[in-house]
Amino acid sequence: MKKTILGLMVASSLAFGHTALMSCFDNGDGTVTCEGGFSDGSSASGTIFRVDQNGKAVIEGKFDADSEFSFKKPKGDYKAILDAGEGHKVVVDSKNIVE
Amino acid sequence: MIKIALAGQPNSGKSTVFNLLSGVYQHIANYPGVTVDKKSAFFNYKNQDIEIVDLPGTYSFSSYSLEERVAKNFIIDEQPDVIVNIVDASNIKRSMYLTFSLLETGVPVVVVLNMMDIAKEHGLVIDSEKISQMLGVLVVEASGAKGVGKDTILDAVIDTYNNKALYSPFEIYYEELEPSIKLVEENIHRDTQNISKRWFAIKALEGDSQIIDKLNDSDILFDESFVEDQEEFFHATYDKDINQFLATFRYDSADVIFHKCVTENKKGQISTSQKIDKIVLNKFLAFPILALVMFVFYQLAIVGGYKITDYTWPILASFKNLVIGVLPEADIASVPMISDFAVWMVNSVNALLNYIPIFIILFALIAIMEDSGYMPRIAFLLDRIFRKFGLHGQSTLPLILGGAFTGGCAVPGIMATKGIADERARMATILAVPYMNCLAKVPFYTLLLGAFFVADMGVMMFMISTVTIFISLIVAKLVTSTVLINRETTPFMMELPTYHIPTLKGVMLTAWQRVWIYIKKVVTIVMAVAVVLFVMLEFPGLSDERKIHIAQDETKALEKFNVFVADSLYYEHIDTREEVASLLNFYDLYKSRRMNSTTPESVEKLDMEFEEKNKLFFQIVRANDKDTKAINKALRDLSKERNKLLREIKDEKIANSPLGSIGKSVESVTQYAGFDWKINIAFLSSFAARESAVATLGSLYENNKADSIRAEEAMAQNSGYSDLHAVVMIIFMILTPPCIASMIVIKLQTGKYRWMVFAIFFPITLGIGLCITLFNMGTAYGWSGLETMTYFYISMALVAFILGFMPNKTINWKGGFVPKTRGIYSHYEKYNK
Repeated sequence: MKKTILGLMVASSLAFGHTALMSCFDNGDGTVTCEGGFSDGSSASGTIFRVDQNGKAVIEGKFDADSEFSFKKPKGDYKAILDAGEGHKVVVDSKNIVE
Repeated sequence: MIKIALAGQPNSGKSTVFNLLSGVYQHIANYPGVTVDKKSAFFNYKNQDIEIVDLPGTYSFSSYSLEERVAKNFIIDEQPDVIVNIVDASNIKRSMYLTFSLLETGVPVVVVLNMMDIAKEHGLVIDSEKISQMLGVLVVEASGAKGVGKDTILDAVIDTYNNKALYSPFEIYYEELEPSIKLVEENIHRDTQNISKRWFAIKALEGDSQIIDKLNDSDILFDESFVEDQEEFFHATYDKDINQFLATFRYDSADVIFHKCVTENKKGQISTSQKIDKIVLNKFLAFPILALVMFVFYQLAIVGGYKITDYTWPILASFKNLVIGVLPEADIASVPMISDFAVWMVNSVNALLNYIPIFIILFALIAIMEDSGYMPRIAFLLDRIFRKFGLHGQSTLPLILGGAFTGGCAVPGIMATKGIADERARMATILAVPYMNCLAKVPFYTLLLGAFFVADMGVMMFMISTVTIFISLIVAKLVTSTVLINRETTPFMMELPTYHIPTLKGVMLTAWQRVWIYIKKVVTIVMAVAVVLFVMLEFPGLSDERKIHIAQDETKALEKFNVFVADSLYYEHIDTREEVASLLNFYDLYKSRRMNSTTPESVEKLDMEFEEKNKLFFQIVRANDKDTKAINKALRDLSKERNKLLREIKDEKIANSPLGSIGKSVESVTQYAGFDWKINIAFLSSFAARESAVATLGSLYENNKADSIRAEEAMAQNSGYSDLHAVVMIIFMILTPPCIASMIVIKLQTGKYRWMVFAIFFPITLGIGLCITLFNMGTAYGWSGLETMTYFYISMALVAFILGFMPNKTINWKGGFVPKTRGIYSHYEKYNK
């Protein structure tokens, strides 16, 4: 067991295999806040965030240190997307973003 | 109670019969000291208590493979009352070889002619009555896959058990060897109980080291050299090797049974299996079909499994929220350690349970492939390529699950190595799988590529995901020609069993049993490791000086909040520290529950629940008038301030912790690869603290002034990190082990912690070595990041290519009489290791 602990200590690696998560709120003041994360409790800070309308990105940025991204609500339907690469995408449709 | 041992050759349908006899209540453990599964079941039949144990499938009863040793040990040590021998009725000639070995033990045997339906289809008419007369034991017919034969088998077992006293041990007359057998038998003085002494003598003469060791241990009067003298005498007198001499007798005996009791009506006709093989093993179609099957496998298990986790994750998340609900609440920026600890533990376990959907699909698919008979064909197709790297045809699936496409997962990959028959190849595969492209590493690559290689992202990603294949093959070759060189390799057995349609019950049972083992073992180990890691990261904690500083910052944030809300209508409800703290907790809990609510309906339900809990707080959290909106804004700012403080505390704790000091102390080595202590800590804590490396690296290079600055911009600006640094970091990440879970599965599958330690340190050493080399060459020759990656890629591909073509010692003759039976025991392979 002693060896194990030592091994784990010195090992460097990534988190467990995880599912990406995101939830978005309408703040009620014309802005929307999306919070990202991973199923193992990891923060999504630094991960790409995008708002798409008709397949085109209208807003692009990164989740901040709090793993959040706030943006001005675009007119019409849109999709909020967390994009952490292949297999790690979450799409939230605007009709599911409620106040 | 009657104790039954179920024995049979691989692909004889033994496990189907086991499922048929035992029903769904099965007990799985390991045979002592080895990682071979021991399945057993207890039940009652006609007022008789019965215990049935499934022995590992073996072709014979020698000591070549682990399975054979385990099976023999069981029979000697556990003394079963009856051995039930499952025989593939469509292939009696070969299957009966084992039957004779079993009969010789002296334990009464019931022979079950399984797969009678297939035998009929092949036009075989078997006179089981006659076999029974010839062998002097009961012979019954069954069709496990069709659910036929349960009662007949059990009746025969009870009958045999009740008439045990009348059973006289079976003997094969070995002609010239008989005098030696007699002499050795007299040399054995211990009481062999159920087992015939003659069998011990024969095995000892065969040079079976397991039996000789057993006799040496349990029989003080036994003289090993006496047996050796007899062997030498026999060899000198008759110029025959005892092993082969005995084998010939058993083969001949099986042949006699076949000729006397089996009539072939469709001789020369092509069976269904052969027809299918004409397509599946076709020169041109075999590989496209294999690729297609692998693609479907990957899509269903990894891609489909991940999709299902979207639906199963909320269950785990609500469990986490439930736990948080009963824990002591946080007081602004000071979180009780017990709460921290509980959340940490729940996160650790949840992360593993999150895999379960993937595993259920995966294990069910593997069971289908095994039961249908396609698995051995994969081995057949790819064996030649993989063998060059010390792997086995059956390594295909583990490697693909590990991530041959855009990304996979080492955990199921390593779990899938279980079926590999060759011990050395199995170990090599276990050690090679973690180098495949882990899906969880993708966000990390994306971050670095987005920062330094925007234009070449596609090329870089392609190189990252394919170089892993070369690296895995190289590692496999490396370990098999060094640390694993003395590992046992099983004589190579190439058998293509008839195709079956798997039964639903069999597939579900196998899948569930394997998932259950995973849950039981991995979760317990992970909990133990998680406790240790928590301690390693939590202590000694912050210095008093820093604690005061944090408390000051906290007060400042609270004062700011106070100023904003001071003239609000609700001020009287939030004018104490306690009230603000509970409002903050209310807000956090609501937010985390919202994360879990994806539909407007569930949000409504959640709102109702929270409104009931605390109407006032709810109004503030879901502000809809001017007054509450102002408080809400202030609350959000306060929450942000608080999170920032918590992060600061955490980062400092890590830097002070034992793990942090390691990061600093290895800088003296890693600096040559361009890694400073900050990067070291990021790598270390990303493994331990379960923050994705993205977030950890991002926060390390975070610019305090502006939240808006992107992590990679911050990185690019920070103290002259170049794309060469980035590439070296990527290469290091490619080589490092994927996660704690995968390392624990290595322990599970190898049975030894030392292999787990090896699997952790070897890649890290290799990684640092390669990174130092590349970084220095890159610096010296002024390579760009892309150039460095390209050179790395080409050299890995070249090394793999050269290793693959490195000549093995081969026998380069052919011809002579080739045995025409299916399932040739290949002496060529055996002596060609």
